[in-house]
Amino acid sequence: MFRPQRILTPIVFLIVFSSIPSQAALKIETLSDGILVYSGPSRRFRPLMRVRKGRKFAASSTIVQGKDGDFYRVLVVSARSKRKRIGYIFVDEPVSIIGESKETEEELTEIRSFAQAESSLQLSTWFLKDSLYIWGVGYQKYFAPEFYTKAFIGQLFNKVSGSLTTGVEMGMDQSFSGQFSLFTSFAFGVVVVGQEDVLFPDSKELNYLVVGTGGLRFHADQYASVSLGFGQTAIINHNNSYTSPTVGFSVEVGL
Amino acid sequence: MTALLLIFIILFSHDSLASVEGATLVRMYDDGKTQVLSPHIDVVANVFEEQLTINAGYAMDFVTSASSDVKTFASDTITDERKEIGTSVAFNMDQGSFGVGYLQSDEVDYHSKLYSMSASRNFFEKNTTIGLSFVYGDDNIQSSGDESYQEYMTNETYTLSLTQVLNALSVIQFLVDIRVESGVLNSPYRRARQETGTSGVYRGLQENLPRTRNRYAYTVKYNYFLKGLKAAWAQSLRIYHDSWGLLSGTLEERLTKQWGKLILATSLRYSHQEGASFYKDIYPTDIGPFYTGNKSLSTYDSYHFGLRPTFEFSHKFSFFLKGEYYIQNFQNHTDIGDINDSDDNEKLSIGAFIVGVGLDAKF
Repeated sequence: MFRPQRILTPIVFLIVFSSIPSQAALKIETLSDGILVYSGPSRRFRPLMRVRKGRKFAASSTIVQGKDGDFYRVLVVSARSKRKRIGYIFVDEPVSIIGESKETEEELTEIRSFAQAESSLQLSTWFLKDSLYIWGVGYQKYFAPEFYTKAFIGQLFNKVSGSLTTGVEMGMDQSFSGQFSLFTSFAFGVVVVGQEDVLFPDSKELNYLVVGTGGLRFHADQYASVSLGFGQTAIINHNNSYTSPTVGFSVEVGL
Repeated sequence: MTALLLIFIILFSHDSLASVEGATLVRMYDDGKTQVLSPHIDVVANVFEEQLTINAGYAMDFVTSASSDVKTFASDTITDERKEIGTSVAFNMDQGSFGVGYLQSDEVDYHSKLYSMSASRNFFEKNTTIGLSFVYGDDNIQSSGDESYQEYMTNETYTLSLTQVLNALSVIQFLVDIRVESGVLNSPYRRARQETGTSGVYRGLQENLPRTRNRYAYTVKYNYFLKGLKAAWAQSLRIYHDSWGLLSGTLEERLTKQWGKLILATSLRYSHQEGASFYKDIYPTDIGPFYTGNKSLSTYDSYHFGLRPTFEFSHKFSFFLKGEYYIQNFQNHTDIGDINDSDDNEKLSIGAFIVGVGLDAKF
């Protein structure tokens, strides 16, 4: 759908900026709720936060060209720690230039952008009933905004043995407030055990793993996040299965 | 429960940002031997500028049955009552949704709790949607004839869906469902029929089923708007198989057309199922480890015809009727009738009428 603001706002942006004598940065204001501020210049980067209508940012006059469109480079100041960092708002979003900021262009340039990369490393653990738990390390790649796939390898432990587990995971995040997002994920994989009947009655040497979890993710900064989720796990072979409620925890670091 | 629903409606309908929708349905099933009456009410409220959807539902089933399962090894007609309450909350965001839900179902001898979580995410200007959902079920099985009978079954369902808008007139959807059941899957009442060595005389054995069942279903749905007819044409194909050796295919066609305030939906469904590997109509004296009297595990064909006229009195109020006819022809399940009379044995065939009436209202 054609949105005139997509063309008009950047033009106004440039006109206003060229009329400002000093190197002061611009000030922009969001015109609707739910606008995402990304950690990098693409909607495939992890969002930093979701902001409401009326939120003001200092913005660089230079529009950044990303892989999937153009972005405003804005200064995000943490309300609590007052820590400054760089965020990116898609030019298609409804924002308006309301004047100039007390920050200068140089200040915005000096702040390094620690973008949560399109790919990241994730350490995850799943706690099951009967003292079973799984840990794994995975390579995670964002193929679309807030949608990722992950390849992981790890171990499943019970009271008597440890076994190799590996597989793939897909998941989605839904930023809903500030630095929090709601996530849902599915993991499919295999569990390779040295012998039969170890995991559950009639378990085989090769079993299949399905894990579904959903919960809350906190984006600690542009380059790290932690999550806590609840869900379920099934370990199955051709004829038999083991099912369990599951609590999952993960730490993620951008690469 | 009804009072709770009313409070729910009143609370949210006073919120100027809310829209509340209520739906009721009363459904009656009758195949000549079993009658089921099912009233159902559902209330949905959209609040905070539709960013939050809250749903609450209540349903009941009143069952009266003198089916062949019941009459073969029990003399009386049985009656049963099931109550179901459910609620869900969904957060609707720019590019998708996230929801959680709870459903509880109670009978005298069967109690079930379901916890669900789901999310969807759309891409490419909402032309592509990926959905994930999972459900955890915890069932407690009892027996009205044996107070000490107490068994448990857990089940997990995982659903992955991909919906793609193909053009202005058509949409296609792919779904994969995995369901894993673990625990006691027997019915404490159901009996497998076993030869006694005397011709035409059988004994009833408490059925014995595997303690786990892994079930897989693959569905493709295609919806198309017929411009010439100004009608919506929907079709779906579902393939199902499980670790008990069951294999089935279901094809459904549905046509919906609107004439002014009347919307008429017609549907036709055919299904064929190959039964479970251990299923036998009559088990020999040398019986295997698993045996069942559950006819739904046998080989059968089924046909379903449906008609649903809806009258839209206004954009806020509609009334609908529902008429369905269902035929199920079993290939290897015999209706023994009187267990002591072999002359009345015949292949089981079910023909059932399902009628319903409902109201939808928006506030």
